[in-house]
Formats: sequence, C-alpha cells, structure tokens
Amino acid sequence: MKKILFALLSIVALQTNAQKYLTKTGTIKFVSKAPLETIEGVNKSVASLIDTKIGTLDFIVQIKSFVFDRQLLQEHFNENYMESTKFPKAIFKGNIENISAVNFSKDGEYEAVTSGKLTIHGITKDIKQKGKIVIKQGKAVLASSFNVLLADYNIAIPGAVKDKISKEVKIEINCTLEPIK
Amino acid sequence: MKKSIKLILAATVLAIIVAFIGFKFVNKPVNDYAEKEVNANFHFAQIMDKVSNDTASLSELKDKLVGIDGNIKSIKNEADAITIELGDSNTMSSVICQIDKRYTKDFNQLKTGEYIALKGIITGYTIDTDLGFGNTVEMNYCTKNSK
Repeated sequence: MKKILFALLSIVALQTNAQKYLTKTGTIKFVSKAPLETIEGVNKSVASLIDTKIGTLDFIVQIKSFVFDRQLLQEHFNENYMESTKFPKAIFKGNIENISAVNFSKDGEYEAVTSGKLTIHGITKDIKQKGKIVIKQGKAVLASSFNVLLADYNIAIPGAVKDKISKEVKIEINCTLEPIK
Repeated sequence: MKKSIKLILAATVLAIIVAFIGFKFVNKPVNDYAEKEVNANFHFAQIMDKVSNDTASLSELKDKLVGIDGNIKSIKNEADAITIELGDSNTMSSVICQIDKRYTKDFNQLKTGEYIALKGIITGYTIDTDLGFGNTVEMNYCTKNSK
C-alpha cells in the first residue's frame, strides 16, 4: 500500500513540478488578406519550449514546413518571399514576463505577456506580445495572434502581385506543450 | 466565311485555351507524393545518426521524397490534420511528419507505440544542443510508405 501511495505521489509531483514544457507539433498559421486574394499557410510541426523556472519561451519554425493548398503558392512563398533555402528557420527567443502569475500546477486561463527577439528572413526584431496560457490536465496551451509587417523583415512584394498579398500578415499561434518528465 | 471572322474565331478559341491552362496552372493543388518512388529509405535510428554525425548527406535529402520507418511516439489528430512524431521515450530526438490531408483517413486508427513506415518531403532539420528540444527532422505531405 505504501509503495502504491509513493508511486502515485511521485506521478503527481512530476506533473505539478515540471520545469519544462515542450511540443514539437505546435501550430502556426499565417493569413494574408489582400483585396484580390486571401492566402493561408499552416505549419503543424512547430517546436516550442517553456522553462517555467527561468521564464523563457522559445519557438523554432521550419519555413519549408508551411503547407498550402496550391503548389504555386508553396513555391512562391519559399522561393520568392521567404527565400527559405537561404533563411530556413524563423526563431523566437524570449521570456514570459509575468511567468509568476501563471500557476502551471492549477487548471486555469492566464494572460501572458511575452517579449523577446523574433528572427524571420534573417532579420531580428524585438517584439512584445500578449497571449493566453491555458493550463489543463497538466498541459499548457499557448495561444496568441498578432500582425507582422512584411517590410519589417525585408520581405518584398513584387508589384505584379501587390493586390494579392497583404503588406501585413496575421500570425496565429496555438501550441499544446506537455511537461518533460 | 470571311477570313477576318475566321481569324477572330481562332483568336477567341486560342485565348480561351490559354486562360484555361493558366487557371489550371495557378490553381494546381500541391503535389501528391503517394504513388511516387522515394529517393531513399531510412530507419529512425539511421536518420537520427545522420543529424548527429553526417549533416552533409542529410542536407542533400532536403526537398527530396524520403521514406522513414519507426515507432510512433505521439499522434496529434485534429479535425482536418494529423501530425505524427516518430521516436521513443529514451530520446528527445524525433521525426515530425505532417500527414498529407488527402490521406489522413489512412492514419485514423493508429496508436502510440505502433511501428509505421512513412514517406514525405524532408523540409529541414534542427540540431539542438542547449534548449532541450532534442534533434528534429521534419517532413511534409507524408503518406504511408509501402516501399
């Protein structure tokens, strides 16, 4: 009986005191709404890691892993705009500023403020965004949505397609991170 | 029929054909690799060994159709998409496969721990030495690989 109790307590301790939360199957979607066309790309192999002890948040996004419905969009996205052979990854390295306000061992919804360095297309910018962390059954669900100006990251839109691609794209993040045991 | 009318008719037909081809080209769905031959096949351990020790040959596999077999570490099954992680509990390193949404029905019954052979386009890899992600290989438009 003591052994069973000890095993149960150990499992609970692992779940409630996990220091790091990880996913490699997070989702990032971008939406470009232009007068003539709406373009969407989805990447469901986003890696994200939270270290709850020091409050760090990291994302690694392989650009070529974005999926499109049409072949031509896929090719233009990688070859003409993101130049993904030259700049294969987008990376965010930052912090959850109010990490102490998030109770990772208690189910609930918490507002989170993140800040850090976002690198896209070889350009690194400081960003600060609000998001949401939902703790449910030991998992941490990150959700955030923000806009990115393509010009900020030196992504040029050729004049011929300026009515088909928005100068500002919406980025939607949804990642379910699990504790590393 | 007058020559000028014939010319106008021919030009109209030609314009319709060009517009049709252009429309088909612009709206062509992403490539379907289900029936295509793979460039190479690897077991999970072999591809992970390449990430650790031979990135030169791994880089040559980028954008190529490659078969990888191994055990399912996790499955993320959403409304319109399935993502499978190949690996095991002994390592953080894994292969992430986004299943081609035209073939998700082939993967609905799979369970964690099962062995599977997949093929897909290698989109890249990540070598992680400090963050704790482990090494990762990513593949897109994955389908079952019958070899």
